[in-house]
Amino acid sequence: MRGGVTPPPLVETIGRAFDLPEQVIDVFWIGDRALFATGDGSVRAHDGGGEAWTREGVHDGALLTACPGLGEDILTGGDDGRVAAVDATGEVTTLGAFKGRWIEALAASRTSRLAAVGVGKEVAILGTGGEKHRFAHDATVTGLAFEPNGRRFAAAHYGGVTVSWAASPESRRKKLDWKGAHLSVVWTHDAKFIVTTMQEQALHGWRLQDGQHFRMAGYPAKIRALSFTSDNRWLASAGAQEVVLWPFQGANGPIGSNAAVAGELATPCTAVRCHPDRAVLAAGGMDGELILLPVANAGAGPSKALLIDPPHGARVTALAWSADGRRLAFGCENGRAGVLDFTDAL
Amino acid sequence: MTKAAVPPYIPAMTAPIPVTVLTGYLGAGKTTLLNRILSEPHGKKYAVIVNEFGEIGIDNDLVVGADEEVFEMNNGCICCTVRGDLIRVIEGLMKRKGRFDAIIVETTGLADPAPVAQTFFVDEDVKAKTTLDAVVTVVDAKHLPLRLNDSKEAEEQIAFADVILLNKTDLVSPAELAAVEAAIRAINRYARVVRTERSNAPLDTVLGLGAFDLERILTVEPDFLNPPHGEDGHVHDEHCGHDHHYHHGHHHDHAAPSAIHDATVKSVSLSTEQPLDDRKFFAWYQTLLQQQGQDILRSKGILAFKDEPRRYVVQAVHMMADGDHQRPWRDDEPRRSRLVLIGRNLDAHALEQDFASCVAA
Repeated sequence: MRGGVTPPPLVETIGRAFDLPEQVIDVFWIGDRALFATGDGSVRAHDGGGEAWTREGVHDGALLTACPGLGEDILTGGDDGRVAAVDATGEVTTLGAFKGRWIEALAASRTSRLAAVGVGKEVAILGTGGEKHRFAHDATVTGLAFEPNGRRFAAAHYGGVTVSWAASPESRRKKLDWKGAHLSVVWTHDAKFIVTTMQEQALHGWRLQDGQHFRMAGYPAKIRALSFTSDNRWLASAGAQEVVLWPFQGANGPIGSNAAVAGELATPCTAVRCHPDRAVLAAGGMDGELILLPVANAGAGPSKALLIDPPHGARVTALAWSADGRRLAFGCENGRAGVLDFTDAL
Repeated sequence: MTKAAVPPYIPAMTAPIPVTVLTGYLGAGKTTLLNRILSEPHGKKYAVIVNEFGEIGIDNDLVVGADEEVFEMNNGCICCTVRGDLIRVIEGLMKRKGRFDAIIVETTGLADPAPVAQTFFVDEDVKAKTTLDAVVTVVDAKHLPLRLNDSKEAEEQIAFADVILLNKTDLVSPAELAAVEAAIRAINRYARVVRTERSNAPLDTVLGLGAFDLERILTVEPDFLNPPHGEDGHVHDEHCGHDHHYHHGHHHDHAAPSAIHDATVKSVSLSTEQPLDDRKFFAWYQTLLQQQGQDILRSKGILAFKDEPRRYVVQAVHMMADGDHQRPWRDDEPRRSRLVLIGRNLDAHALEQDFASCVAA
């Protein structure tokens, strides 16, 4: 127990919390609106003033995944086999429909204006004009990510990762093998490294240039989130009470280096998101506790956290910083959600 | 001074959703049973995970096709395989609005039940949000003898079962039926056998069994299932009245001989009325599962530890074990520990001795 005066949580001083009727799958900012994708198949927009709009039935059934879209919109995938695009005004369009499939893996690039959709063992590439072509994989594709320039995408699956050129199915593809089930995948900002989360509660990484690979293990819980700091120096990871940071500053990435700790939650971290500009990150835990941590002194041990939202018993499932870094949105498994404005605070 | 705000978000303590795993050879009657479960007016909402869309009636329920994708876990545990597709489907079901009363997982006829069962021990979300209620195996009374002799899977499906639906009993003579049941008993003494004709078992013998099924370990006397000593099918155990520990020159393999199938899988039951030392027990059990987990298909038990008022319930699939303290022992029930092991190459005598050495000093 800490003594002294505890400052009120930031959500009470510079933000607003509210209850959504269903669990939050993910959240993204489009301009000054936070778009919450919820499990009941709806998308709900909130801004500083309150609820802007709600679109129910974006999916007929469960909304399983969401990602930033091809432009000023988000994409959602559902167990109705549809990929929908929802913009800041609440306009919903269908980007693709895959009958009988559950859409659980989805990624898009604003730069190349392409989306990748996991359809069983295939990845369908969609543009604004519809499906372009498909890529076959060795096993069901469970995670997708575009490199920052949007040209290549990485697909995580059982047995490793396959990297393909999204616009040219005839081009040479790169297979990065590692035994085990790979669930999600991220690229470093400089596209030099790829990192996956694994069913085995470990991370696996590859250096693209030479295929050198490395294992980052020791997590007591499922690793549900990864986020690189804006300067690409650190990879922040969920999966432990400590927010674990892996160094990516050198040419070797974390090979031969130790992890650092940004700070600690009371329960295993389930969501983490680095600020797009400053050396801070938001991290949420299994019990709903949400904190703000500095990354600047990473390596020097855990630093003092600012409480954003106190624990309430349900895990934090979604976190998003606005592009300008002024706003933060969060959502939880029990529907608790909030938006904060850091304009005067950071 | 204002008091710190108490968060109004007290989470709904939702009980884990029970999952029934349905196994059995093609043609044994799985689909008939599934159709009955889905069509009977039970007022429940089920999610059924099938390996392909068959002719299954859908009303209030959800039927999901899965692709039986078996993952080997890269965690140093050689027999640890899980169903990756099942993890994804269950995660997806948990995102839907509204709850299911139960989930039923159908496996293909040739499937090894271990990956399905192990999925419930390995994945954090699946473990937290669902509970393995029972493995139900449908067998065809007419064709089981043939299946047992030509496939390892048929034997394993019986070994894994908590409930065995002995179906199509109208197609065999009473003598054949008795022989088939003895063959089942030789493999798995602790499953409940329900005789049916067209998979017409009362649903409460198939679904929602939960703890009840573990209770069977304690409450059903093996003698009840056991033909008398000296008769075909008799299983030597602690109730058969001769002393095991000093009875040499006679191998107690605890497998009832069966006229129609030479079982390689058998059941061993260990029990004691003396309280166990929890540290000794876990050290032994963990080592046992590590060393012989490939051969031990299932184990389950209810244990009484010294100075512990609550019952400890444990179950394992191969090397993956999961256990917890449950309700306190009642005054009117004997504090008897029992552990049941079903598997291959089990040395009952050695197991009995090892188990006895876990008794608290």
